[in-house]
Amino acid sequence: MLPRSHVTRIVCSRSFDTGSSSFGDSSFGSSASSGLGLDSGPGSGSSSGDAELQSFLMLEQQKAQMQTMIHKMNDICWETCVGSQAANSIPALKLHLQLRGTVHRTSLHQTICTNALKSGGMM
Amino acid sequence: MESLGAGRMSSSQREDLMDQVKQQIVIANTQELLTKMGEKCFTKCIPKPGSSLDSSEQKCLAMCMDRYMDSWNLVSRTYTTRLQREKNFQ
Repeated sequence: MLPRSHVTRIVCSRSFDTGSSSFGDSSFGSSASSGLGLDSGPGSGSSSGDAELQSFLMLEQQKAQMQTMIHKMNDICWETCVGSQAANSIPALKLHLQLRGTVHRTSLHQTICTNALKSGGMM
Repeated sequence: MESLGAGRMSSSQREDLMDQVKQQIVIANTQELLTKMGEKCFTKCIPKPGSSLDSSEQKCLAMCMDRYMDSWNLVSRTYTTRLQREKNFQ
């Protein structure tokens, strides 16, 4: 019988593979800050400008990560709700409800996995 | 880009840099959207090869793209509202 944390890891990684480790893989987010060689280097005269830039970049990176998540989620939801239907038979309201449901379930699943992995990692 | 001695950038250079970053992110986002949308709709609407897109295929593609965009907007809204909600509860 597998320990519970192990099971959580398997379930979480198989069905929704963007758990807590996902936030390193948005390529445009990370390349924006790594390609610039920004460090609070020695003798930087306008350090408040640097700080502004750093915080701006962090914000943009987070926004970009959000976008990536939304793309992935839309992918999942589209496959779930529309995937098998013919294109000209997609009823709008039903789609709306199904998509919202999928987003909530997927988001909930993600939250559970994130929390479980966090607490599992501390053991 | 020329060498970025961040400590020596004037504020207008900084502004330019920030604009460039924002623009690149928008471009990347759009690209991702179009790629995904193209994949999904092609699979749905174009069952077999031909020499051109006939009108039913074109209609199907147009509808599919509209639906995909609707879906994207809905997912985006639902997701961000939900994240806000969860953040406020913590």
